[in-house]
Amino acid sequence: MTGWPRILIEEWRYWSRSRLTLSALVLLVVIAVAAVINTQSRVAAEASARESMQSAAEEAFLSQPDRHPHRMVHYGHYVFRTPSPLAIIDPGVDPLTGTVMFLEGHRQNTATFPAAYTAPRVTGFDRLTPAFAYQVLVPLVLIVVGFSSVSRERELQTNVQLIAQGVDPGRVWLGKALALLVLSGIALLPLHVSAFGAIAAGESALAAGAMVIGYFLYLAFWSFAIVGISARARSGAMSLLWCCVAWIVIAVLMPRLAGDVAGTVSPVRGKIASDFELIAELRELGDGHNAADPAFEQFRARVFEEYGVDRAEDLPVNLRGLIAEESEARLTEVLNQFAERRMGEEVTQAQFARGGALLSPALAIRNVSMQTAGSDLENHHRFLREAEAARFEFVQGLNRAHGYELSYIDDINRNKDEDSWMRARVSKENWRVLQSFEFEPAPAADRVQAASGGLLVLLAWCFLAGGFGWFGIRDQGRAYEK
Amino acid sequence: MRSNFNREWWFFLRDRQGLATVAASAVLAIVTVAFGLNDVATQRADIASLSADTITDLEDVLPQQGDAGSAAYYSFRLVVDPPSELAFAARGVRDQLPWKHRIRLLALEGQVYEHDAGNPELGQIGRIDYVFLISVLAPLLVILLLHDIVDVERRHKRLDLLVATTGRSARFILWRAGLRASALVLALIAPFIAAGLWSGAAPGAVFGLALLSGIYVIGWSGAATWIAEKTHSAATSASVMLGIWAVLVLIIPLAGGALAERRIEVPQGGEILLQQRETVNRAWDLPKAETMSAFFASHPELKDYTPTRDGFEWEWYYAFQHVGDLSVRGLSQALRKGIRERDNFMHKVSLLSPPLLIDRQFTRAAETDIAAFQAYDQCIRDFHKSLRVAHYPMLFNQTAFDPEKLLALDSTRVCP
Repeated sequence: MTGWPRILIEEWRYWSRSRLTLSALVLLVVIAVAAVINTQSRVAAEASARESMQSAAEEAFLSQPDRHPHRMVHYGHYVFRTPSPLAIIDPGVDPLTGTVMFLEGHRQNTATFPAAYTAPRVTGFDRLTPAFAYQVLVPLVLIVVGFSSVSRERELQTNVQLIAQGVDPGRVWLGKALALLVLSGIALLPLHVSAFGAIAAGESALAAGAMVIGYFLYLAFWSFAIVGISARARSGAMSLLWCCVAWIVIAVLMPRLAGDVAGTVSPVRGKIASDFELIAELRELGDGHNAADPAFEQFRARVFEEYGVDRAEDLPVNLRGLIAEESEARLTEVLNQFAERRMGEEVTQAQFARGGALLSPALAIRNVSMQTAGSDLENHHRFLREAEAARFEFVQGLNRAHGYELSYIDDINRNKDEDSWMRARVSKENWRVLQSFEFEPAPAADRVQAASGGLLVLLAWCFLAGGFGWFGIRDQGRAYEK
Repeated sequence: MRSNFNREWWFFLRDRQGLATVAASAVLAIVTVAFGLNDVATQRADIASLSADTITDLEDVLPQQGDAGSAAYYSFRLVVDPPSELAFAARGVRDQLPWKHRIRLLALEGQVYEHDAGNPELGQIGRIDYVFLISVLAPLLVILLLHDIVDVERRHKRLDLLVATTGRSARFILWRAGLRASALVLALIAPFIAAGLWSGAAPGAVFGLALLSGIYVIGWSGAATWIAEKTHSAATSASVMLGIWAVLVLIIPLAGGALAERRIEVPQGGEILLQQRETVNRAWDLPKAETMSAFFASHPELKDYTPTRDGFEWEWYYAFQHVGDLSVRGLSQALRKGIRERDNFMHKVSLLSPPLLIDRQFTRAAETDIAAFQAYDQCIRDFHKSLRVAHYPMLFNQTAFDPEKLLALDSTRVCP
């Protein structure tokens, strides 16, 4: 295969002479660098604020004085979600999901205070992140640079000279496509800087690598598609027209349409709606604050039998604490059932939207990017599940302290007078049931596996666009040979 | 004049790309409006079923309660911000911020930030609503339609002839661009006007926004025509217009947003939550008198109350809930003030970016902007206050506990 390096170099030489191309490239660099710096500093500030509030919350919990353990169940605890290292490239759903969650007994609260709560509103596109820059803006720059790559030769009739010199049309295609591809590779440099930054911050090279490969495949798709359209269009103007149409449809329209269709076809009930169903079901579980609640009749009988007593006062343990533990366990089972159902509905809806990747490579790279970064819906759910596990663990630890460290007599008399109030408490040593919480996204291997489908779809798009251009240019070569 | 019109109309009817662009615009306008109307209908149905559930829940729970304290503890009420008649056209912050809350008498700062706001992954993609079509996509449609109107004649070597025969140089270009731009404007705004009137929005607002959209699209068309005339090729004219689009639609708003966030600090929400909890929980360990005197400072009319007994009592419990709210009032107000200032800053930015200005006009009219969200936030606070006013006399033993009276209060507050 000779000839294509020459074509590649000539293409680059042409670009270096075109004012339009040069200004497009300057724009590209400015956008990419601005996106990298902007997101990097924002995510870093967010991460450090959340980390410091997390340790403040843990310190506050552990430094509480001796008191009634159930007080601590309602004192509760806060967990903060720290963004994953690759969030500096793609924050994903992070700006829209709550960053802090209040954990307490008997309730699952929502995560509150998403960044969107305080963010200024801009035109439909929310934030200048590297993900947005590479998914939407860079393809547009590639179009401006590359739309005339083949059509120009035809308009100037230099293609006839190429054919007369015996240059294989396939090599013309290769040279032109590689010229854009190399440019795409260079355009990806700021992304590489971010990716190395993430690796330095503890991200696995596997996930970062998969993400970079995803973006390269995506830009490769555009390079092939642009050369393909340029080869098939009747004129440069037509080539630009069709490239722009492709960009509007693929990068701007399709993802949003997919979101709207998913929202319409597969609706999700909100938390409040599912809470109402939950309330109805919970009423049958009984109130764990009330040890005489008939819902705990059987449990009480079993405890009495186990210890061979007839009255709660004769138990060596605190019945109220045992019932609180039992009731929390039953309650949590139902809460989790509803939470899982709601998360399941959200995932179904998101997958519906993600299916649009078969119609738009922009959706494919969007999925791959969030999946490898660990900033997709599933990793948000992972946070919710981990927060719930942390909640259950410390609440039950406190309930056990209630059951085994606090006398039943002191407990039921706690409201009698000031002295009883002071007596009904346990040592602050018991607060150590709280484990330190640090959210990490799913392991890199799992994230890459989740993204592998999307990567294959991107690869398929590359082949499709490549074939589109290669056959296009070959047909035209044949036409001239005849 | 008639001949100019007839000639250009005849040309336009034979221009397959031009017709396709206008037809695609009409389809997009219909699709975005339809999705928006569907979304609004879903939200309304959602609100109706939630408020029915709220009544059922209250009717079930309230009669079972033996005292005013537990009645307040177990009765949740609904606050909603229903979509306006124009919300179909500009969904604004409603995809990202909550518009429904379940509220009870406990500390409000622990409840008002609850976040039941739909699937974040769909929120992240963004919706294709009508205002997105107008502010972001319409300029691109204008570029597709008009970037080649001069160069096509040049390529066919008709330009000089046309200029010579139509008198003043650019007359025919104006006719051509004007006709196409008008067709585009009609295709874009007709579905909006129809949907706006059908959904019962004020005709003045509908036609005002339609007019604004029309002027905006005509403005872009004028720029595109001017650039098409000044540049030597269709490709250059399109590229220059794409650059202008990128600057006005993306760079200025995004840079403005980043600048607003940097320039105007807001308190971390997490800090409000942490501090509020500390105050509420510290009260359990403080002498009751301390909490009560802080509470009576803001509610002198309840002062006559005498503590009923030692240990736990509901009056004291709700008093320290409120004192907890008071303790973070400063932070909470600073948060809202910061959000407002950022929004005001974006208003200034929008004077540099017509697309942002259009977006703000639509979301303002549709009551889906930050100001509307803050009004909703205030409405929740007012409702909570009205609940406190209604419950306190019963809690502080000034009137007898009467569940019927509590049932008679609003179970759902419809904002604003």
